[in-house]
Amino acid sequence: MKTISFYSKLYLAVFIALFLTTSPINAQDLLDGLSDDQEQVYQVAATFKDTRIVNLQSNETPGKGVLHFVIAHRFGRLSDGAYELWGLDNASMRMGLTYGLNDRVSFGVARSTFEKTFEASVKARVLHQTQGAREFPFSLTWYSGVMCYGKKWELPEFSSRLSYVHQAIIARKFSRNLSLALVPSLIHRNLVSTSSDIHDQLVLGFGGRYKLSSRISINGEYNYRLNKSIDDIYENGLSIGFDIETGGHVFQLHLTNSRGMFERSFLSETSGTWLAGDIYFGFNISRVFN
Amino acid sequence: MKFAKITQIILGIVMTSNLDVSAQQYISRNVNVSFLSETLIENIIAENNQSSSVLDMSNGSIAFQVPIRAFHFDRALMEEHFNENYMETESFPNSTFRGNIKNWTDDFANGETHDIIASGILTIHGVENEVSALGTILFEESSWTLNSVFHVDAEDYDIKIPKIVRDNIASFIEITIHASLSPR
Repeated sequence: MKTISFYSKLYLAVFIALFLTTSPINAQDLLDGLSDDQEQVYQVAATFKDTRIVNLQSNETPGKGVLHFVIAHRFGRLSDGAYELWGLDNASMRMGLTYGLNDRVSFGVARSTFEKTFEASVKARVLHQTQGAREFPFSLTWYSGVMCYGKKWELPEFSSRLSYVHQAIIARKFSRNLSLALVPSLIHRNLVSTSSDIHDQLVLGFGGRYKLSSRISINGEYNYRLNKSIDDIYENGLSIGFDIETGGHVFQLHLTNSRGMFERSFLSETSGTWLAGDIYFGFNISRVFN
Repeated sequence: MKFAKITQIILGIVMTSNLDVSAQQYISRNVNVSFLSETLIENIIAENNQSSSVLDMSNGSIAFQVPIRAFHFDRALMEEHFNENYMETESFPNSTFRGNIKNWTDDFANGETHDIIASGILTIHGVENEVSALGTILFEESSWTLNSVFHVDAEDYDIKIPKIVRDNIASFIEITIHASLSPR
């Protein structure tokens, strides 16, 4: 008798256990166990809203088959006062066209009124920040460009007009709102103004954005020059601004102490001092065409 | 001993019925979900082939899970805006539907196409709404084929479309679902 009651108790326990597992399945349970095994790898998108933070390149490229057009202005110094309408009477302009060959590589050309400079550039996404099944912590984008001084100039060699830029843009989107970038850069100038001036300028750029809403972000950048010539007359570039995105356009409004909008100028030849009021108001307007 | 025997028999029945229940679940991990926003200016289409669905044949309960990041657009910028500005995908990575096929009967497995009404809770952008949708179901070669077209209003899901793009993006979005479910 004792053994029977032991077995019957055991069976009853198993019976109850099984009964519980076979209790009616509702729709809530149907999805259980689905989400884990269907994890995919996703590339983190929109680290920055545009291909530039303010002046500095961001890790973004236009994307396959996209023509990215940017028109940018920098006005005169705020310290010029009321007579110059705080700089607004003097505008310097840059137009740029960039074409995305594929989702990684883009080519660009641009022209600035400042020193009548032409630019040609290539930008390539080397590594992508990813999340999901496989996480990679940052994006790496390469940017190389050549800039050509375009003013009439009695100089024997064309190469004296040229300068080059090479940058590695290391960017990470920390959260929905916060993205930061570290941009080590090299500027090479074929011709410099004095014999003591340096041909190769190393710059460490810091940039970031914080989204205030889904369509507006506050952006900033600081370009720290790692080497300087003995009679250095230049400053480190500091810029702060807003990105405002309206569907197809991105408006970037900013204040900066760099007047030029190409790398040689804003990375190695920034002449304004914030504290002296050498602050230029400016904007970039970009539009994409497919 | 007799009692033990009886329990054993019951246990056997329970175990087979347990196996039965799992066999009655049908699943797909590559459900096709697409949507269409139709305006006078442009039509915006996005497609997603990585959604999941589970159908329980025993009671007609059905569920869908749609990873929002798996929607792909013709234009990269549209996809970016879709995820960043409208769906806020980082905060709400999945949309789900949990519900029942209201007119479910076991006769649906007779190899003919049947009209169905599914109703339940649709969650998009973190907002839950009770919805009903019409569709068709067909059982053929041990798999269920499900088709449905229904509409959602972005406003119901707290998805704000700013005035400036209101001529380009419809608030009323047509959603098309095509699923082929095999035994789990």
